[in-house]
Amino acid sequence: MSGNGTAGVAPKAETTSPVQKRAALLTNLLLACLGLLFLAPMLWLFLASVDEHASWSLSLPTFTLDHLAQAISGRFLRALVNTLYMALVATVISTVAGTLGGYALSRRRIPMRDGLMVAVLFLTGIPIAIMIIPVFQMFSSLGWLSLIPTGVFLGVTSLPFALWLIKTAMDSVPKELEEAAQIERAGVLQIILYVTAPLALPGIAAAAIFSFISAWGAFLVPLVLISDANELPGPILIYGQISASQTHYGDIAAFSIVYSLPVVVLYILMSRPFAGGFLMSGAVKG
Amino acid sequence: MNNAVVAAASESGKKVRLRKRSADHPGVDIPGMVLFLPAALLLLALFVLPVGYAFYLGFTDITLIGPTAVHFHFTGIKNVLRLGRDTLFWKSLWLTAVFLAGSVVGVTVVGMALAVLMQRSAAWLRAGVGAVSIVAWMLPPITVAVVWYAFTTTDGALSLVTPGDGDSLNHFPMLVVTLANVWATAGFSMLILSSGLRAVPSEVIEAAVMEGAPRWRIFTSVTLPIMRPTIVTNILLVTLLSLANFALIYIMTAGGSDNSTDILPVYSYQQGFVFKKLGYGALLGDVVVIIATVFAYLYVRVARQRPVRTRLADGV
Repeated sequence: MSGNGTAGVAPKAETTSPVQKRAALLTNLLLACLGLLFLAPMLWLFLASVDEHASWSLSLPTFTLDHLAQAISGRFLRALVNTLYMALVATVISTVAGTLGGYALSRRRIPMRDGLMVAVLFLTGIPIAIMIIPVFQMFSSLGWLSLIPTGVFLGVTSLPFALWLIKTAMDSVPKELEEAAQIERAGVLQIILYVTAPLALPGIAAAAIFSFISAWGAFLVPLVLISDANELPGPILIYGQISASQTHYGDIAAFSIVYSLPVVVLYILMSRPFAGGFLMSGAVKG
Repeated sequence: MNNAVVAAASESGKKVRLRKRSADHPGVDIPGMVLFLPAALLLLALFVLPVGYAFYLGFTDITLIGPTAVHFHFTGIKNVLRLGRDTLFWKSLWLTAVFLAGSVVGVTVVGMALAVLMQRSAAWLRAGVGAVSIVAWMLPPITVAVVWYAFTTTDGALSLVTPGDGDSLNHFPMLVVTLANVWATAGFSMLILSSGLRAVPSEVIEAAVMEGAPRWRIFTSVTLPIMRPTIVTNILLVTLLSLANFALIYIMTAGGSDNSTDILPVYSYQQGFVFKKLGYGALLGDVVVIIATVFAYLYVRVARQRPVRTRLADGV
């Protein structure tokens, strides 16, 4: 084996040509195939959205922009506005409560703090679906089956992860800066607003984006908690369109694109802090 | 109380830290507790209370409509006995296991393949495939469901390459929804596993190469064992994500065809909101909570161990 080893070391520089080239080609080829497999299901979405005669099948489109125009007007537009409204309420709730709470967990003496952090991390793993029956029961007896309470509930479902992200981000902000502000007689809220939060912004932004994206995509919660047809968010409208007697395939495809776009754009714009967020969540080894 | 938590955590390093902090700031921190109050109240009212209430409702005869919608009663273990006799429940439990196992294996294998190939591929290809797989992960559940419904239904794109009438969704529903879940989650797994892969020290790999070990052998005997903690975390997170993925299956199949994709979250919803038996539906949800608790507990243990280990490594 040792002879083999030395033989392996000596010609190292030369082996770059045929064998390694073939390996690199194979790697690229395999990855390209995988990429195509990921792309294949999405093809229909783009073709059907501009096809006058769209159906479930994959075919060359008879080009039209009608579907896309439909997707940003009338009830589709209202659904987008509803979704935005619901997601913004959720984002504000989880980011504000998460920032104040995260600061308290990071800097202040909270009883049973370590236990609380374990509990918070634990809650991030509980599926939301199981809470829907009791929450429906609570909200319907309180007359809260509408957009804002639904947004608040969605915000709370993101709160454990937001707390975790923001607390971890604030842990890495140096305490000396706050102490300096304290000497200048700044209040706790001022310190959070002007010192700690700006420095922990990547973590806070990651938490806000996470809350926004999960509320934006929420399906089961609005399906159960929203009954008014004027308040339906995007996913529920799409679902209704699929099961409708007359399916407008092109409109569904076009609206799915319009509705998915903000999430994708948001991710691309903020991918750095977001990836950082996952690093911090403990999901990834730093 | 602090000491009890510390004892439970059973990490000597943490104990010292905690005691020191208590000495620094004696007394109760009122402003700190006030800052924590909004989060605590929201979580109690809309997270902890609903989960607790779900357990209570699971033992009542509450229905969605009719007289028992308002005047419902505690019925003891009646629902539990029904659960034991309900063949659909046992089937659903089995289907949940199949869906979770299929998803975890599929997502981890595809995520690992992406991570490994991307490490060595051309830069433009890495960027392109990375973007597509991450976009698939970012897409809202309804879009994933619509896209995969169109892909696998009669006349769908997949029917161009499959024999028969091409209605894969109807003939192999569990396979199709699992594949859709793998498609929608592999990008997430790729992100986790990529960073785990980058953390493998290159000297170790180089040493193995010098010993003349074949590539696949290096991967199975060196890379994988070093990546074990990352892989375990990945498996637990994918399990939790898949268990929470109600929307995908509900939209694509609504538990069909012939209950063959009726995983527990979907079955719970059906009993509650389709058959209007909220109490029994809540009990089915409780079973999901118990399953999720096991995986969440394991995840918390793994996640909490990590920083300690890194801290030790930094100290050395």
